[in-house]
Amino acid sequence: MNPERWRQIDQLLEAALERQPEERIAFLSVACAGDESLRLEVESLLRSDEAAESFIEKTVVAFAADVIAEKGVQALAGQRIGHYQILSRLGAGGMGEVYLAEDLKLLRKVAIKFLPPALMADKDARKRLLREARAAAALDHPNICTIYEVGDDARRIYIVMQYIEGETLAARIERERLNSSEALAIAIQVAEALQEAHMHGIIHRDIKPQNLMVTARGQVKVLDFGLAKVIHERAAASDEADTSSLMSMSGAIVGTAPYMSPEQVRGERLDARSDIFSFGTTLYEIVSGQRLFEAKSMAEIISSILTREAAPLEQVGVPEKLERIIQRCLQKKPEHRYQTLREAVIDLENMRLALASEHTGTSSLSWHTLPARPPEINSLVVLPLENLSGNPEDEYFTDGMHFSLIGELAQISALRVISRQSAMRYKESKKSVPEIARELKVDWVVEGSAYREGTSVRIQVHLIRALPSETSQWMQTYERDMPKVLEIYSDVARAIAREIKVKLTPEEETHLANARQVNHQAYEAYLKGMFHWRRLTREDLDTALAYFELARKMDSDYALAYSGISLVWIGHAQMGHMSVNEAAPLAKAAAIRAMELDSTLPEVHSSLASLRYCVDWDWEGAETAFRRALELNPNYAQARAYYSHLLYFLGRPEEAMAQIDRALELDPFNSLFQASYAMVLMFARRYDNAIAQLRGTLRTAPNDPVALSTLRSAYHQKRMYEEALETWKTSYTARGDHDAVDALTQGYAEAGYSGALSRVAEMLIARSRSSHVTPWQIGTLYTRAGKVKEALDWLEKAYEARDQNMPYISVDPIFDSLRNHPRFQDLLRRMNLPQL
Amino acid sequence: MTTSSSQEVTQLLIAWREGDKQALDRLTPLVYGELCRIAHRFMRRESPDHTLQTSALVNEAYLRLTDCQQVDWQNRAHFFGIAAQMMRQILIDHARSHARAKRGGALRQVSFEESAVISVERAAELIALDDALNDLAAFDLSKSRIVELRFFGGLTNEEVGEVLGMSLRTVEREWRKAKAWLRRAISKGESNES
Repeated sequence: MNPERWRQIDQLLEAALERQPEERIAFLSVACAGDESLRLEVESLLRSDEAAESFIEKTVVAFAADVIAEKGVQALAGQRIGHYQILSRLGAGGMGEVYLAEDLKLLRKVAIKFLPPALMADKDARKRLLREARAAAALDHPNICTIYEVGDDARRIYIVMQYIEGETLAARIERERLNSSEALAIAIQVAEALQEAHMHGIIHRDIKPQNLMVTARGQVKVLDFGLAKVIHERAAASDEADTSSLMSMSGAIVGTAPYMSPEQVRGERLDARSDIFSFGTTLYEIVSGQRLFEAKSMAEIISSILTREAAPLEQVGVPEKLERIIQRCLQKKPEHRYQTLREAVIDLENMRLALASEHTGTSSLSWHTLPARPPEINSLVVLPLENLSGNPEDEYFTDGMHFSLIGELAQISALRVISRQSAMRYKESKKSVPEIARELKVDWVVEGSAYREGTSVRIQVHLIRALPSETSQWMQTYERDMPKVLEIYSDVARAIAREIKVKLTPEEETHLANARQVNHQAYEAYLKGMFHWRRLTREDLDTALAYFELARKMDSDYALAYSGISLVWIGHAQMGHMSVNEAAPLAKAAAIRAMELDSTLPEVHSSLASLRYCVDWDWEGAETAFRRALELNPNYAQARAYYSHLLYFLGRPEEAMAQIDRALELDPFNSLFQASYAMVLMFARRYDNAIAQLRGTLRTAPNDPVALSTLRSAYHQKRMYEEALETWKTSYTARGDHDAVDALTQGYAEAGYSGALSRVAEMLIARSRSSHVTPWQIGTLYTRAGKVKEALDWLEKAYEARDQNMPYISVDPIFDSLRNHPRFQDLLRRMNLPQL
Repeated sequence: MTTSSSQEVTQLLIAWREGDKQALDRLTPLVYGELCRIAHRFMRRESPDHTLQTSALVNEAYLRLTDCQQVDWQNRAHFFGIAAQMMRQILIDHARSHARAKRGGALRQVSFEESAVISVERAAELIALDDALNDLAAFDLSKSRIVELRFFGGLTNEEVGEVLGMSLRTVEREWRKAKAWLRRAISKGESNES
């Protein structure tokens, strides 16, 4: 602008402003006579003046101070804070500046987040933030970024956390659209992390792709638990207080808003279900590559969150089932959503399993067309290997080689291979080969010895034809370096297949030819872990876990290590060391990880199957996993035993019987499978056969809990109440529960058999007030005592607790007296079990 | 309070006024460092009443950095000018980095927690104000300095008057006209009307 012209305008403007507003127009038309553009210019400035009342009145100096203070923090690189040496700035995000630093004590890299200095101003906010961050620091989960320390050095609050090499999910989906199995893998991990936090009463409040890190291996880490709440409150306050001076003011929550739940937008009190909504918006974005609530303004976003339904995902190729899961997270009303993410995890996992089997072609191979037992099958037992090194320390190694050798041979479908547990009965046995063969009903016997020195392993294998008379067929010595030890197993397996002339399927041929190299330290740790795991005591399981963790540290991609970890948790649950609810998620997480690393491990599929049916009551998913396990290892006795019960629940008794028969052929001396077989006989209402079988089992395993509980049921069904009562007493004595024995005795004296059972139930109810008693136990006692209402009440409680025994109500004859009761039928319906 | 650094700042202010261009280069980090320290202390105050003490930041920096007895009002004016300009620069840089993030993809990459609290709209407004202020300075330097000292430096009208050697009434009148012009410039989305 021309300065002369401006001086003119400026003077006229000033003169006009000095006059009363109503006089200004008249003044200008006189003063600007003949200069129309001058008049228009000054008039326009006058109009602007009228509207400019609060415009830039309030200084931004406080805001500038915030920025300056923060920039001061940016100059941190190279400094030391406590025992952390700041190395470089990683970036800004997730509520503050993040630096890479080295922990000088533990010599590891960490990430340190410095929170906005503005927080230091507010004593309350600071306190709350520290409290929240410390609560979050207690979370320990593979999918939650671990917080090591929360510090407050009077100049700033900082959070020291795990350094994660990877990218945010936001960056990941920006780069390319994820395929469905990647998307599911990520979604499940996020859901599990959130579920873990929710169980600890911690709500994230800011779930969005920017807060999720994905490592190169696809592991997800959720960041910033517990920070959102305080920061948002503080931001909202400072937005109002400090920066409201320009023409418009908008919320400080721009980046977060599109992922907020309706109740969050409304500023209501939040619970875990708000996270479930945000999880839904994130999931929507992951699978579609599109932001769910994308809009130009805050107002538009907020109104979409409150009212707009999510656009259908079908046209972008998202399976309907997955869309249903997402929609359920995105319900506007919290009570219509999943109530916990556990449920969502189950649905997502089922989806993933379905996808996985589609890809591996399992579903095209129909199980029912496979004969349960090919007629020309050859059968074989591998006897425990002799430890030739003379060092008892190497026992675990010999034991492990035995286990691995059986595992390798068991994969040959034309071969029946006796399970390890039954084979172990012949460790140091004086029995002759034909005797052993007769007892186990096998044609072939393999004996051998192992010797280890340093990293070199030698194994000698001897194949003997046992029947009709003992003939040595073949003998061979193998020597390998530890890293190549797996080659020995496949070489032995191929040689034996050749010698006894069984045909290998092309798949088996390839598998045996592709012995992988192994990190031998990891493998050794794994073998040690398995050695302890098989003993199933609490201490041994803890030791096993330590070994598996060690194996995982040595080779983080070692599927067997994860499989072992999963087995440890299942073992703890089976042995009653911890509740199924606690153990199952841990077991599942490890099993899933193992499956991701190697989808051909039968143990992993079997573990997943058990978890699915005992814990999730997901019959379909469990069956798919069992089939896959048995396809990978047709000689897997345990999988067959568990599968047989599932088949019975599904109303397929013939198939159930075939499976349990086969399990017993493979592992004839296993008392658990014997008892499981007796249970199947019970389900078939063949009580006499069941009693005979169980009496036999109890001769060799007098305290077997499953055998005892099945036997007392069988007696009960036969109305042999005195025998039943004695069996009750035996099982309680074996468990060391003398109160229960006393209650039985007293109750029986006063009110007979049903009185005795009611008395125990009452005693257990009293006990449940101070210690853990499963409602299932009480429910089954009342059922047999004939107390229908109480029985149903407690079964309902067992249902709510998702007791792992619940599926048995559909087949166990003790419940026959309840079967016509509408409440019982309702239970079956809710569990999606068929009525008998 | 007379320290070596306060002596140094005083000397630099004098040297700069006398035409030593390098003096400003050496002055800037000293002023900036002091602003940082004071800003940090601001943040730690028990009640977040920044607004009550808007001019304290620059005033304190001045008091701490200079030897008051040696410095005349012109030095003070220069010092406040430097400080306000610096704060303006810092804020605008901050706003621009947010605006860049915005261009990266709608609202996608912008979240307030990336740094000090600022919304996208707010960032855009600050940048527009900065542009308009530059245009204003081209033909009315004194108005632009008033705005800079008041809005970015946090000075009161009295202090602005003192620093610029104007009467309070003049500052008030000039401020009002500057506001009217700036507001119109911003709402038109164009600041150059000539």
